[in-house]
Amino acid sequence: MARLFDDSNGEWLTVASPILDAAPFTVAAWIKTDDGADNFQVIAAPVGEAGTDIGWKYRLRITDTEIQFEAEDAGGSGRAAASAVPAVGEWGHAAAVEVAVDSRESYFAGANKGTNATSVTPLATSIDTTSIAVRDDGSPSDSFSGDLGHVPIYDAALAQGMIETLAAGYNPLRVQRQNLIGYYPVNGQSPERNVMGGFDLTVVNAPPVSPEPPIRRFNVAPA
Amino acid sequence: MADNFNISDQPGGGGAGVDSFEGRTGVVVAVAGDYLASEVTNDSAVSGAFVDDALNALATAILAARSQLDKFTANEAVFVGASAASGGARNGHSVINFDDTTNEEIIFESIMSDDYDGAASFIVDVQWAGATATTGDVKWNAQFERLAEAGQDLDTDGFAAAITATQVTNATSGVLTYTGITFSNAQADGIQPGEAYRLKLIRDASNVADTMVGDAQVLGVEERLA
Repeated sequence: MARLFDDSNGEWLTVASPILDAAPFTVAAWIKTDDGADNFQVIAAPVGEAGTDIGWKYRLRITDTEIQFEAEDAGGSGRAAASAVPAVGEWGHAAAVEVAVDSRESYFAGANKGTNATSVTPLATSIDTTSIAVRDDGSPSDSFSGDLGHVPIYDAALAQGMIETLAAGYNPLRVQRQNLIGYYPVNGQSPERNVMGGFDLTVVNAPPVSPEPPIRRFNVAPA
Repeated sequence: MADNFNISDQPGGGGAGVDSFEGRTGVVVAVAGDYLASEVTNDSAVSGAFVDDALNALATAILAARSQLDKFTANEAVFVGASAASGGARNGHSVINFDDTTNEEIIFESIMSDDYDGAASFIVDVQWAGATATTGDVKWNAQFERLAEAGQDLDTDGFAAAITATQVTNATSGVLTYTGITFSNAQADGIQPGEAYRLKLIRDASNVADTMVGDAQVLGVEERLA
């Protein structure tokens, strides 16, 4: 399953806790935007500092044909951009990898890899929020517009082969699960459960449940 | 009504009983060994002139029907470790891509069928195709890890030694080859029916015997009696 997020209605998922606070990590999602004009749609802010821009954000910039993964600290930011986006109304798989403080990657469909080597180190002590479909910098904005589901978070930098595996529709529970610390099927529960335990997400303004992304047989999200 | 003989018939029962049999007289009751299956006419739907023929035919049929011990599609693979193969798709078919230079592996998890007798040899059939190649050999290694009650500690790996098979790819890259790897029970880590286990499949790409260029794509694996 997934949820259909209406950006005009302020719909997103969030928890006031950091599921992780430093590199390395990987976050991914199946996305289907319904807006070909909105250029700033946040897929996930895997972790960040509420009320500021400090942290990581992963967003779709559809008119720029990029999926950007950006890290930001008090000194600046570094941004990796995958050079492709899903067509409006079509499912696509996006993944961001924070390999190290000075190495990050963004993928679309398991390929179209973009990289960035700017050294950025958000302070772990200030990281305090995790959200999906919005960036909450004190004034939540850039909400995702469309369907979004199956969000895994790993405490490791997945190799491209594993990103390809996720993009082929394999369930995250089968992929490098020794590093899987968060998995949000986004299947309509409230709060949305992390099936790995802890860090359940509060549902804001009740985005409705929507059909399953193209996950392969036997890989339906656990309820 | 036909005057059939039933082994339970007894004298005085009003039927066509006997008053002596195999040296026993008086009230004769049936005992073990009175009739062998090979002495009783078979009139069942199973083929065979006598009951022993029918039972043997039935046993053969059951064994053939239950020769499959387990099966896995690509969708059931578990991708763990730094050397995991990667999942993919080919014309809508789920496949697992194994590299041609780096040894890559995947794991299947299951519980051994109760139809397995715990002793027989069996075959692991790897169903695979070349991603693009039309020539060359692929060397497959497979290993079992038995997870018996009070046995293997889940915190450590306990795979038995790899058993291997090498086979040439089909001359058409998208056509499957079934490579059978035969295991004795001991080689399969002594797995018993009803026990949990893991099967690790590895393409031994770094081996000189593995000559196929490009990915090998696994569609599924079947375990069946040899």
